[in-house]
Amino acid sequence: MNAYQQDFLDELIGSAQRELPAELEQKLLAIPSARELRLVQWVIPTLVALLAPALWLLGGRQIIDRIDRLQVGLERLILFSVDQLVALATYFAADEPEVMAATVTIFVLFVLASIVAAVYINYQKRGELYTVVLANRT
Amino acid sequence: MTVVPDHEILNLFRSGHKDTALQKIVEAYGKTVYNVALFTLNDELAAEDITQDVFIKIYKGLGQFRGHSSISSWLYRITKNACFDLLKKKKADPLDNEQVGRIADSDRQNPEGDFFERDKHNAVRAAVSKLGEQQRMAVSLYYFQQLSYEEIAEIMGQPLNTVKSYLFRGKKVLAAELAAFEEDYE
Repeated sequence: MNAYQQDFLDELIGSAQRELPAELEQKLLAIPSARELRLVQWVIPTLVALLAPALWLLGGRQIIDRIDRLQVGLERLILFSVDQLVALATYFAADEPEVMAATVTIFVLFVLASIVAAVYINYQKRGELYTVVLANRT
Repeated sequence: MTVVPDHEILNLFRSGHKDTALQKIVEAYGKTVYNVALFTLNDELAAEDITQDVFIKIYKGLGQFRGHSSISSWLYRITKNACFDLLKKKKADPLDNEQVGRIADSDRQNPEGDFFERDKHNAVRAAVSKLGEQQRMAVSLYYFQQLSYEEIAEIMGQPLNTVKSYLFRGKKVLAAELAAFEEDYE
């Protein structure tokens, strides 16, 4: 490749760079103000620690992997959708302390529901696999 | 792009000005992280997700950052790992396969943009999609951040000669794919 072609390629590819989407930039800059991130950091590990033996019996390693992925999803949810969560909580609350309590309750229920869903999906997948194995045998 | 020295960012973070520290990092590297993820994954939504994950990890890890490498190398290593983990997961998990090929739509980014510019952007993306995953990562780090071969090798955890080969072959493919635009360049 000669120098001319090199320059051409540098300029062409360089010009194809996208600007960081404004909405995404705002989300990134909001990370430090999300104190709720700490909630995820202790709620999930605590729940997983408490439920780990049962989860292991139900789904083995795969289910723990799914919960790792769930934590990433929840971090994002709590970082970027906390306003909606609080707005939902205000429907059930009469005053400020109740809003906080309702927010935490909804969040914990959501986590538990997600874990149940993960267990269910895991079972469903195993069921499909079992059906395939049976079909192959017959 | 304003690159703030690492020690300044770390001082800001450690003195409690965490939001300013993160703002400096986002300003300096946000665009590149997003573009590297976009070019490696060829998926706009996944690139946005990866960018968020990278900066959450950076924010959570900045307090423990010991400075054995530069913040930029650390950040691009996290980006590389996140992109390749996602690609691996997509290959392994059929549930995630629906995301594959969700190619970025440049109209969303630039609805009233110049047709030629849009055409050019689409052509570059199409050309880049012809490269392998590792090549795409190396090419995007080379072109978007003007990193040296040595820096790219360190970030990618690959021998220098392998990176040179990724770039040499990558550039060759791109030059051939984009030859049609060469006449307009002058």
